[in-house]
Amino acid sequence: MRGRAWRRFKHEIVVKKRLSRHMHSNWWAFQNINKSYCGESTMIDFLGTKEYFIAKTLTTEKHDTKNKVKFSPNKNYNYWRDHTNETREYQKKVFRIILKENGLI
Amino acid sequence: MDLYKLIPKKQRHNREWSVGKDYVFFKKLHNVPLCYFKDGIVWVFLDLRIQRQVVDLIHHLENSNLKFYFTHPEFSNPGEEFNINKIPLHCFRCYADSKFYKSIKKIDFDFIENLVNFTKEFSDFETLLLNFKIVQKEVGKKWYDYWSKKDIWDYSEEIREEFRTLWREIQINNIL
Repeated sequence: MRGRAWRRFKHEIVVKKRLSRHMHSNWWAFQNINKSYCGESTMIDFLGTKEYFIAKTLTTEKHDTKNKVKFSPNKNYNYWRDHTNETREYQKKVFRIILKENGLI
Repeated sequence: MDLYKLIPKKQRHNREWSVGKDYVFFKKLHNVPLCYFKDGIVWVFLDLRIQRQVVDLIHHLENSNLKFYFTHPEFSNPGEEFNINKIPLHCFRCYADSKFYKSIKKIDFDFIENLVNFTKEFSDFETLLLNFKIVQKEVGKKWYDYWSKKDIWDYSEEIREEFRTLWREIQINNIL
């Protein structure tokens, strides 16, 4: 499994790709979060707005992508999960068991 | 002045904070300008897009005893004309933002005192009052929800109460 820095880097690319759909597509002036109007909206203008947070989410409300974890070996298995040592889900379970044994939960 | 000193000590190792020719930047998708130095004053872009970083910067500048004022983030664009009357309106709007308001209270920074000092140096209290009335009207705006049969406000109760007595605070700061 890749590290956190790699996941953040990949996530940024995905967000940029999704936000590029909104750019230059407004018939009216786009209002920033600073409440200033921009005629041709650039990528930075979407920061802090609804469009940015929708682009940032990893999951959707649709049934087939509800359990999707994007940067994981499980990303393509929505129902039958892969519980090997490599996955984050399995590691979290083991970590919880260790915490319970030591009385930390 | 060395612009690296404007970056908070905690963030100096962070690659997202950088220094350009005249500006300090923070990278969030692109490099967003944070502040610049001119004539012995640090001008901070009061940008709600990168709220947390702006608050960090304010906290750092306050501790390092540097003179600083706020500007509108539009003026980071060299194509935009610098209009000083736009700044108080933007400052009041940011102060009405609940997240920004809470984070400023957390670091015990007197935002109003800074704004009053700015108006004394660069603009008038008449323009400040005009801008204050515009934002006060926005904050106090309410609408009636016929389903729940209640009045609903866009802004929280804490901010509405703050704006009721804000002009008095400004006048007190002016006298002091």
